[in-house]
Amino acid sequence: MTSNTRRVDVDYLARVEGEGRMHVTVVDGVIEDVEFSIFEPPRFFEAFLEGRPFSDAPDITARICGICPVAYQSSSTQAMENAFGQEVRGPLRDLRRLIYCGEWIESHVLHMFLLHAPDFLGYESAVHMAADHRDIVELGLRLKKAGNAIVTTIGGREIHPINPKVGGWYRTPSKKELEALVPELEWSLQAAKDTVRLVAGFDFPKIEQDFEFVALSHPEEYAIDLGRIVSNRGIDIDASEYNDYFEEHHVERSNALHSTIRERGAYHVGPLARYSLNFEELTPTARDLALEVGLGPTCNNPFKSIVVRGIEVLYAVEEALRLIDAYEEPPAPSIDLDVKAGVGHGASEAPRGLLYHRYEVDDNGRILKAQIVPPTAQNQLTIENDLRAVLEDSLDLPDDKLSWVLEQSIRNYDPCISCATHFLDLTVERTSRKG
Amino acid sequence: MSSHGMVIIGVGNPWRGDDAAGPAVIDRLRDRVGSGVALIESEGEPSRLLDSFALADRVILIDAIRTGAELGTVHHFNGSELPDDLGTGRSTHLVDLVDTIALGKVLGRLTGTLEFIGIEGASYEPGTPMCPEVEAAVARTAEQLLVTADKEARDA
Repeated sequence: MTSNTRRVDVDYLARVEGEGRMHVTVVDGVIEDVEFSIFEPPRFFEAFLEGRPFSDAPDITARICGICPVAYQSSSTQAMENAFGQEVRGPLRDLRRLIYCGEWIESHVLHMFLLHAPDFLGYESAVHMAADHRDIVELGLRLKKAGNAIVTTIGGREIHPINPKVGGWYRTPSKKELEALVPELEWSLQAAKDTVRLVAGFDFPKIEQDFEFVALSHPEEYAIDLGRIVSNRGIDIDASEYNDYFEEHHVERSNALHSTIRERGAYHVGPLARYSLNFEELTPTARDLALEVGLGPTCNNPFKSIVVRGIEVLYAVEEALRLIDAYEEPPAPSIDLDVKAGVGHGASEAPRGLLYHRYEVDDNGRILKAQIVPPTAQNQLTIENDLRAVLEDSLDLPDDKLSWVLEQSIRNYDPCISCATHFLDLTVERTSRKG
Repeated sequence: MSSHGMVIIGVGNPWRGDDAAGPAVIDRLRDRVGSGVALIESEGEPSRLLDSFALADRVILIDAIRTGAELGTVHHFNGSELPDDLGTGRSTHLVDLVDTIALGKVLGRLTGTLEFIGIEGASYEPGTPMCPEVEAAVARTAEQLLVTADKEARDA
């Protein structure tokens, strides 16, 4: 390396939760290395769970993520029930889907309006954007609140819902409590449509990636909390087969594990994957709007994830209204559990993508081993691949603009890096071997 | 129209060492303040924070902070004198918090007074407890806030 080295250090803190680092090495104008590293708390939680009773899993894993506790609760309860050979059905399961709709709305809207839209509109942050576009931010905040209300009503509190348990719920809401959510959700229908049309009008870098998409899929519904794990290259498995098809590697530069499809490599989880694999299961309204704004039934441009999130918000609002309308108060808030030794698997679609849990429990339901594979770990290699593609197109940009577009590329994935905000340092190192 | 005279918001992640300071102060205040004081535990999620700001004319935020000062130091700032670099690495949450405070002002959610209490922490490892110095600072802060809340109730 020579004195021609240029370093750009960006203390990039503002709009990706967590703790991470990105390092790009460019030698003589050629990209030599792209590293995206994250700190990943689920690994700590896996060890923490061992030796604890099965019933702790939903409460403890919900602490992994401040934005998507419902996802962790859903995958963990499902995995424990699977270990006991049981399944939650009917209104108890519908409530799980409904609270999950609330979390999708909350998480997607937060990301779209406060984190991602400023990128596209050329603002440094939501604060700067709000000064010029207060109406847009207010729309987002009100829409998000409709999601918050679902999670609070069913989950029992504002953050970290305390009501979900293995086997169902501690308490189920009355029909009247759920119906109180309807007026704001009806307002949200139009707001979600307006949002999709708004974000579809942004300028998108013309990058199309040849992704292997992986998501849950269900023959009768847009998969959120139930389904088989499928891909656009032939995977179609039960969650119990996850480790036969996917593997995790330790990467020296990061304490996170990188996930790959065995003998194949990187894959993509999240809204683009769900949408592209399950387009036909969206509601007619959501499908029609997607086509109206030019999405098509598959989407391979990661920058358009903001539009797909909008479509999923619309779907979640419609689905929430349908579930509330159909809800009948169950006779009991939970099923009786048949606690026994076993291995259980659970998979659900966190807002950021597939979230897989696996637990081994003993005769008393004590956790012997826990495995938690969060979506951001699964997307890490794909994020790096995207960053390479973006870099190839943008190397001539000055460092500040290059950093901007790279940050934006990372934000396409809404990476939930640790769920307690720390730091992502972004470094672009340009060097020459020619001296 | 604000529904409380004062809202106290503890920001932090109870599972990450000294980052638990904000929520720990809230825990110590629970059931000890009158109905005119709203207590909120937050992980820094901005939209809920904005709603919390709007609850009262006087907002007190508590978070863990890293300034290099002695462990357990309690820093007090009022909203108009928050250090410019508070959002660039001194606190575990203040990027979001600083942006959220600014958003609150732009959007008219934060129209009254804002006070910020930063408790100097050192370790933010997952699954670790708060260190004794931070625990002690939490206890001191809670006691001071009880006095503040009583005064607020008397003046109301």
